[in-house]
Amino acid sequence: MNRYFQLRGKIYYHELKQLLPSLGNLLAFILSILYLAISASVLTALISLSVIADINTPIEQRVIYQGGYFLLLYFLIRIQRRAILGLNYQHYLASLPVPKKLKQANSALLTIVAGNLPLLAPLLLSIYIPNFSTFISQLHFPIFALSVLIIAWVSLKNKTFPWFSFIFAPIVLSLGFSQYPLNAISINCSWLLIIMIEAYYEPLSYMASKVWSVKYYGQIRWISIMKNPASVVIRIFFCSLFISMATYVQYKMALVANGYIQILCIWVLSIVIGSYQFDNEKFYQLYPHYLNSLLNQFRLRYCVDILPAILITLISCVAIHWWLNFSLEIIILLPLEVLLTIISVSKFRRNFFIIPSLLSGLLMYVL
Amino acid sequence: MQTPTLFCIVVLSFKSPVNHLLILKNVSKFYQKNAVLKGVNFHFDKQRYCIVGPNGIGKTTLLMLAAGLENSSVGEITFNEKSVYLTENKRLMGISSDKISLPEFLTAQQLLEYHCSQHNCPFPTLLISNLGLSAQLTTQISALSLGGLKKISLLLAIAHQPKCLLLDEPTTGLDAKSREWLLDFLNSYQGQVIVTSHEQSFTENHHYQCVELTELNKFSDLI
Repeated sequence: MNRYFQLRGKIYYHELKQLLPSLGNLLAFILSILYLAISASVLTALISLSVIADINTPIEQRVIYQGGYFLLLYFLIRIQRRAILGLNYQHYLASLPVPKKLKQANSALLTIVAGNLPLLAPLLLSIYIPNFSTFISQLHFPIFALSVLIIAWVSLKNKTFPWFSFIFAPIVLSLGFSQYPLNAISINCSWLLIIMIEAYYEPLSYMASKVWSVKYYGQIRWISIMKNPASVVIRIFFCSLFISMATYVQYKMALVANGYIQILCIWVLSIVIGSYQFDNEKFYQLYPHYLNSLLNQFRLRYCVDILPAILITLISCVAIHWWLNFSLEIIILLPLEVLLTIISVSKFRRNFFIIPSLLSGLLMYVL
Repeated sequence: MQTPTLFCIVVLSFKSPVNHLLILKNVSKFYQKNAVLKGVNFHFDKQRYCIVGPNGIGKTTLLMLAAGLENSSVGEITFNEKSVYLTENKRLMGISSDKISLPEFLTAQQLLEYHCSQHNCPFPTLLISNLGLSAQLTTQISALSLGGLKKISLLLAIAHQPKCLLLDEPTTGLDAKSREWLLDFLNSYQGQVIVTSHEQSFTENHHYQCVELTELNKFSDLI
């Protein structure tokens, strides 16, 4: 039993070590920024628990804080999913004569290790509620803690991103019921119900398992992204985190960032978004003969393949304009630098792909 | 020891010369600095060919080049007097090879549907049934068996009824029933068929002209 746990622990540690270099195409210093951002976001999440715990927090604020908390926990565990479940060694692990309950207990323990404070903090706080009457009056928080627990389970169990819980539920709860006086308990109960339904039925996975008719090249790429969405999701997560933190800093300092800070922000975003092209290049390397056998032209396929990056860019542009009040000249720089990074990745691969966008950024700064 | 060429009966007049001619002019292929094919010249002017030769001589590479899936390092490959890399020629050719990795995240049906939408041909329900792949249509490519992969690869080659079929070891991995059907299908196929195989069904089939690649490939002299 003890040896089995040691084995699972070693697999988890080994997989984590493998995970970090896989983010290597974002370059070392961006990794350090990401690392700091993740630490900072964990701390922010823990601080936000006080807002979540307060029963008098307004609906919109509660939805934003809880939604952000769920998202953070989901991604924190999701990126470690293969390591937690030992998926790369699943057949070997299945062949071991270890009781199923022990395997599940090991997975649960590793999930706690992976989820760390964002997973444990709400549960521990719920346990510390002093008496039953307080428990009842503060019921929204134990329900929130239960939701956190189910989110951790969903991030391991479900194959698809829980759109209904993370996108549909917050919009409906904050906008749809803005006319009605909902309290924190009702909101959390409704949200928990949606999470449980999604955890159990997994509607997107059901839809994905349906055999859709494929007639266009774009559909092929869409299916490939949906089967392995990690790369796109990580980029969306990083951009959201980066823009949110920049907004927070600007809000706290009551200042708009200087020109060169704006250019730096744009450049970091362009590298993160444009490096998505590595995935496309990997796709081309995986299926070179099949792609060459297609009747459509390479240029057309290339344009289709960069659409996700362009979409993230456009959304980021809107977000930057909306929340950061960056000047329009600077915002226009983002799609240009993303395109430059995409083309640089295709031309120079890992070696020099940041240089062209860096030079264009410096040029903008000089101008 | 007799070479496979000697087992083959060369039929020059059984089938009329094809209108769509595949021509290789001084074709060489290097991977980095390693030559696989060197100075290959050949006119595929008959209806049936079986390319034979020892392992690693470049049979699969030759088919890949002929289908326009890989670029030749030197030389020119034309079909119907036009480059094989042109879209109009890709419509006229069909290739099946284990070397072609298919998108593993798609199902067999999705792959075939996309293929048919590209070539504007009907969904090959009868061919699928004859090859015994109907039950695996909704299976993802990654989950198909070796035989299943061979069948989907063959279906992609033949579904649009190309003028020229390029088949790399077409019977490998097929079950007896599918293999028998395929051989009958190829025998009655209207277009040109070029296969690479060591199987007697092809090498000793009087419909097929055997081409010994070692005789065409100048690089083989160096081996």
